[in-house]
Amino acid sequence: MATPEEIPISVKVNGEVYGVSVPPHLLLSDLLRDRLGLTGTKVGCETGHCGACTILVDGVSVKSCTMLAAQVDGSDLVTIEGLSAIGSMTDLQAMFWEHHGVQCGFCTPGMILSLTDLLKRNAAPAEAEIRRWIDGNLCRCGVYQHAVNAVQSLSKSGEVNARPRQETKDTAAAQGLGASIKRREDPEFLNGDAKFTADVCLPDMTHVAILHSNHAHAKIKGIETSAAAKMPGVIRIFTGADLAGKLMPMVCIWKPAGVDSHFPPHPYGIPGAQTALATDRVRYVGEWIAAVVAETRQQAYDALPAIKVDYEPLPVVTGAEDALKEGAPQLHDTVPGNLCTHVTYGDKAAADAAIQSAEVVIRQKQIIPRQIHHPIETRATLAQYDPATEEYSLWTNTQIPHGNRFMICNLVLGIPYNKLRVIVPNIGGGFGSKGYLYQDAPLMLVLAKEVGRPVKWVDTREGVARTNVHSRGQEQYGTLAGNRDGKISALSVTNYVSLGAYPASNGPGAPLVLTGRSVTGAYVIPHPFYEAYLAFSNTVSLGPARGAGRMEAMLLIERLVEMFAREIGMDPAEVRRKNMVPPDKFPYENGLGWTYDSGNYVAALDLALEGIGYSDIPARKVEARQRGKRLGVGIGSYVTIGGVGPSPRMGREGLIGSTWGSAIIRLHQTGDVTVITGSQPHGQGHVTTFSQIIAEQLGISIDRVEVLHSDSHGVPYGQGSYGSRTFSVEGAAIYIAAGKVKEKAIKVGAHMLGVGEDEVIYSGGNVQLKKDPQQAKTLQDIASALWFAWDLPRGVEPGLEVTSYFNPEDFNFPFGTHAALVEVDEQTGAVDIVRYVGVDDVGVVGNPQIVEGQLQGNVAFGIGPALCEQVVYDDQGNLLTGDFRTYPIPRPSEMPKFELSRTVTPTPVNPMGAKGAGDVSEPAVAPAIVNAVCDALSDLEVRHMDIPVTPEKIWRVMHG
Amino acid sequence: MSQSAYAAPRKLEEIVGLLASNPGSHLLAGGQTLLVEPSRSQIAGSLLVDLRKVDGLSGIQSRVGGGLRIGAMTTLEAIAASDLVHKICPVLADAAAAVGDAQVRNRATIGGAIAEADPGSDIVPVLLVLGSTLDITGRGGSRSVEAAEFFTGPGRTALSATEVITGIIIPSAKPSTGAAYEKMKDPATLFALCGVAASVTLSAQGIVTQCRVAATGSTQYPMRLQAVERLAGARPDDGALGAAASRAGEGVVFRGTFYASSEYRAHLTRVLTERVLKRAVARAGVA
Repeated sequence: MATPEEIPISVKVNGEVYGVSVPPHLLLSDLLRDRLGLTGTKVGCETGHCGACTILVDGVSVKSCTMLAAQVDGSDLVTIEGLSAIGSMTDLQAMFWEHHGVQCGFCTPGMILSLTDLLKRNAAPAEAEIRRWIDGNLCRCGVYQHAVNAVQSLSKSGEVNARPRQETKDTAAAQGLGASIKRREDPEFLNGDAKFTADVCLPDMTHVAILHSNHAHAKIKGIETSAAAKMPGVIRIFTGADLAGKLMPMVCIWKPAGVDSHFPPHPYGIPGAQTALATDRVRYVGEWIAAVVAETRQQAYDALPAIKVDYEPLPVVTGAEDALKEGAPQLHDTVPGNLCTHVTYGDKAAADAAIQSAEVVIRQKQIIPRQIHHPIETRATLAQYDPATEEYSLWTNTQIPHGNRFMICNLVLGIPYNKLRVIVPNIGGGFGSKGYLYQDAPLMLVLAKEVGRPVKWVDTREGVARTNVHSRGQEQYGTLAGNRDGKISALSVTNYVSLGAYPASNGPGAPLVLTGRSVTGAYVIPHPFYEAYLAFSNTVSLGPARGAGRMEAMLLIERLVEMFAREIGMDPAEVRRKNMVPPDKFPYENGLGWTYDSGNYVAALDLALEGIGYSDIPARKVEARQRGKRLGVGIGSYVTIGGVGPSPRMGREGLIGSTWGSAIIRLHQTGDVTVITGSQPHGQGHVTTFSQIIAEQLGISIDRVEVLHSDSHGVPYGQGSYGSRTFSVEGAAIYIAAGKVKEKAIKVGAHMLGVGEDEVIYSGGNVQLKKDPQQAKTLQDIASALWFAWDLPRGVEPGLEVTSYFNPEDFNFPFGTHAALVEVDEQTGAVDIVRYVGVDDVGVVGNPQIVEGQLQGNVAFGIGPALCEQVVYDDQGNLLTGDFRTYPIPRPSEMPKFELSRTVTPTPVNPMGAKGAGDVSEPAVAPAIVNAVCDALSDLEVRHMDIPVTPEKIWRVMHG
Repeated sequence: MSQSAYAAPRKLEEIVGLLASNPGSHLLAGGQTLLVEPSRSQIAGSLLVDLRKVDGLSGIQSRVGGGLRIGAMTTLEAIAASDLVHKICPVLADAAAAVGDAQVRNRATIGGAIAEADPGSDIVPVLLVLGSTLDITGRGGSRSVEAAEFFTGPGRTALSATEVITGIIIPSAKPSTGAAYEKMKDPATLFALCGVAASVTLSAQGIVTQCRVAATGSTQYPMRLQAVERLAGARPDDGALGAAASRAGEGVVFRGTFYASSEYRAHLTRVLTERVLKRAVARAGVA
């Protein structure tokens, strides 16, 4: 068959006319990104769902992944790059900046262009219209409320004109901790200039596509690649056999401490995981079998169907409890009975005895299905090998660049640590899904070396669903005991969890420690006990997601407390009040291994109840019933560990690694400051908040501060961002390092002023005489003197650079209460969240608006699993929810305005008093919503519903 | 000689000619189904015949004697935002606004929605209850097909592979006619998990003289619910409407998935039928 002829088209893009010839089926998004280099247009799904690829065609917002390039012949296109001239912004972009409408920035170009279209149709849209209009612009960070705020502030001014980029003119005094300044990161996201991994190109680059297993469990009898190898553009095809001796299996760096555990093998005797490409057997649908290297991405993917794999199917088991049963299909020779480990926390005998003697005992089984993180940016990796220097370079969107480097060099490839450079471009959301070593990173390095050219792999949405870790996924048996006076006496939990067919790098962590030690929630429970059985089954690996482990814990304890309250006929709020850890009990040992640092749990509860109008609920229920709606209120209280963490403590839990924070501060001779952090931002605004720490500590404007991160050249080692650790651990390291900068500045400044150190103080960027502040040396003066080094105090070295490692003495424990008001349609079972109130306490904060964005994101991320998100495998291990057509992500129009506020209780475990925020309040969401739904149905004797509480489940409850 | 797999001729005759001379080719309108997986993989290599350059296929006009003619390439967003549609046939505007999201509506065309006949289409049930007619052009010239005759089965229509839908005629409503559409959406696809459209005409005495009801999403394909339509002849009090709605499942096979079973969809069909009947009657009363 002849190759189809290319189509000549003429298209105006951002004011410039292009005459190009395009293959007839080339997508418009590919034309823009690959041919015209306009990478501000993002691709997140290629199925028209996520909207990251939205552009304007003849002034109308459309998704460029569902259009052919040929279809825009003669059209006028505007992409994000062309929306405003270089160095300027439209009013909409400026308001997005002002209102923190950007987090990771991946969905931003599409959302901006959609809203540009809306504003042309209606200059003053109402909130509901704005939300509905961006239903097709999925944002997993949850910026919707801030986006609405931005649009509405704009419609008040009534203009949509370009304006120059306006940097903040605030002085250092107004830029310190506690100031809601605009994010320094945002202009490049708003203008589409920010480069993500898929946007990075190298000369002579090749492209990789991966063949997945279509069987959940099978022997591979043969792989036939010869037909695929002859396909256009195919350079080489690799199977597992081609990689023999070139790389070791992936690893799990979490070996549960103090108990027997069994894992797939690794030559070094540490827990192993999957091999990069399967050789003789596959154990889940999606497991990697072959890699095609081709000249273009399309050619690589086009060749996949031509590879033929001869499978011999084996019996399949997907559930954890099922996998542990006698006679279940066995996955690994090294793991008898599929049991990875059995771990217990607390005193079982004491808990059993307390349950025996209690007046009231509540028993409930709860199935928490798996959730898929689904960041809108898929994973991507670009690898290069230089034979002259034997150096490898890796660009990849990992939340743990330094951890990747360590694991790749030392545990998988066996190459010198100094021969691999890891660079992380901007990341389009992670939520935990990018916090591992996946097989692609070492594999692409090997392929780059073998092929002798750079290789790039960009995953598909289906690939995300099938091969990225999933999270949650617990089969819990909970028992709560107490007395009729409302006091809880004991809690006993048995949990079955599948780690998947192979463990993720930190797979055991969430179901063991994060769930197990957290399951007492906000309450004093005299006799708690937790045990978990971790199993392997024919599913993709399990790993943490935003709210990791604690979501599952809070959902269990908050459901049990609710059921207990109903059983004894007491207001659930009152039961919580009676049992919450009182403010004078801190530090409080929870009996399962956590020491809660500080808090006033009842105060947050009462504020949330006041916010939701708790006392008016009975009247509102009556009113709603007249409209055919069942109204319910639900409470979700939480205490969730943040600030991971104290390294000795993590070591005792079984982490083969460390979790301290690191910072380098370099004061240049000009007085400018470079901060180098070990953290890794993917939407959390690190650069802004860390600059604010410097403004606070050193009294200089943030304009004089640069923050470097995410490149193993120049950053010695860093832990990355996960576990709500960045501000309170990495930030604390910067705070402490800045203190050391001040110490040296005081020494030198006093010398310059000709006085003793005890006669000066550091204030407002100056070292000044205590008795005469006019007599001062600026930090710039001092930096200059340290550079010239002509006259330094005796024993003082020239220059000023400080390194600080902060190993916190303990974790921190944010807390709060959320309350949801829902209306359930009596006939259809549809749930409408009418109001959502959250009161969170994350200690002292850096940038309140950034924190607000994180807390908004927690709620947005938590609503999905409560209402609709769930992973479904059939009994043959096929993933039925493998794309956005089958796995629903909540849309902005389905969410109410989140009414969030904060109390502030400092923690003693770091010098700033800061607690974690990034994922800590997510665990409140599902309990608040499920409790509200159960409350709405309370007259129907509903004790419990598993998430997601879909309309059909509710209908079945209502209609027997 | 190599051949292109894409063509966008300016004349309808050329479109029809290309379809006829290239078996296996596909007609391309807004592309919101055809260019999205899984369809996109299935059309790889085949000829796409794009309607975009053919003049006169889009636009909304009121017809002499009442009703509307809507060009097949008119986008759903244009229909949802049209003052004319809101005035003359508000139920169609409601259904168009209920489709997908804004960027999909900006590309998706009413002709494409009809030709695809998706089992969860919001547009098709409304066309069924409005008694609309489709203008179709093929090799032998043009013909008109009633919507009721057009949708023949799951994914099947009366359109041949060499024919093009050019326009949709919405007849003028009889006096005292009201119509309504309601859906419960699939949270992932945003198509109808279940949708029901109804059109009710009342006599001067307030008796139902004509009743058309159609379901989508819950059924195998968008179809009329004839057992419900036996409401005609009755006084539309709550009892009669409820009784009619309770017949919604008669003779109908409902779809089921892991997210929503056939039993639940059958229930939703009855519930939404009662709701749209009530709204249609209310609208008829004020007409």
